[in-house]
Amino acid sequence: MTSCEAQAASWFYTQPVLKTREDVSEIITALVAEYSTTLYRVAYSVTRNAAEAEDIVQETFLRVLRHQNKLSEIRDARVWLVRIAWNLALDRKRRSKARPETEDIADLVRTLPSAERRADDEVISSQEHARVLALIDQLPAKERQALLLSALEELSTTEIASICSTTESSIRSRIFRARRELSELLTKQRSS
Amino acid sequence: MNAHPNPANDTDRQIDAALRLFAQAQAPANLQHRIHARLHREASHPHTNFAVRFGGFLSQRIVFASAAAALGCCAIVVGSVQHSRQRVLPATAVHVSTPGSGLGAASGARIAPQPVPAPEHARSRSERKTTGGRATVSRDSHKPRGVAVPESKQPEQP
Repeated sequence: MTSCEAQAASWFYTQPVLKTREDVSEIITALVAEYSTTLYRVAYSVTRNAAEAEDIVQETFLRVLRHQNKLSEIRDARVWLVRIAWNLALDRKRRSKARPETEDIADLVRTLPSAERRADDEVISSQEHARVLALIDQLPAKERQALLLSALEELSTTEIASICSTTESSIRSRIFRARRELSELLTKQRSS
Repeated sequence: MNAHPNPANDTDRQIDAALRLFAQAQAPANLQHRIHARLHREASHPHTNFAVRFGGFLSQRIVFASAAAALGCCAIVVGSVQHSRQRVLPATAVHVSTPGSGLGAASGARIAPQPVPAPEHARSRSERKTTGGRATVSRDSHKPRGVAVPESKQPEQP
């Protein structure tokens, strides 16, 4: 992030009233620079489709532009943006149920730089990834949301709790339950 | 190498690896550039893109919902009127008095009500069964069937 963008971001957090259109433009520029990758990951974790994830990120910032008069009231931009992106992604996923997503996952596994992959990942094929992701979709909505958001390193438990409008302890227990259920489902699937 | 790996660890490893896909997903190149371009495009045509499109969509929805509600109300009213027209009120006992005869109501001729035939295309109603102008209810029609108890014998005298 450039110093200009950092300056704009600091204005966003401290300045209560946005005066000019240039201010808004700078703030949105700073938000795009800081959060576009995080939002892309959030959207991708739900849709598992690169094009749709990108579209969701763009739509998220369009929402910011539409509600620019509320920018000064937003206390935590990351939480606000992730919540918008999550809801948009859920809507998008509901509308495109029929689209297969296995190919996108396989593409992602192939295109990830090898430095970012661990030795464990090498032995786990893309089909196995797809199987785990399909089982994640079978989890209850709250557990699934907590699990998927916890996968993103950018988000702390406090922020996930704010996004889900609940407490940190609730988030921890949801993640625990999600992993346990997922583990049971995987074991059951393997034994059958 | 462990020949019998722990299945719990194995599943955990699989879950972590799958979740790591999202954590490591890279946004496509020039994503920020495309976002800015789209924002610029939207900002330069705010009315056509936001107000007109979404306002028009909203007004269309309101009009459609109002029309549907009005249609529903009309259907209810028409149905209700038609149903009430199909009903045939049961004939009551008619008191026919001869005017100018000087006789009171007690001596007037009384015509017993007739059973009302059920209309063919209407909902079923209960039928009135009359015998000589009076409803007939058998004496034991609503009573449960009793249990036959043998009569007790007289105690033997010593």
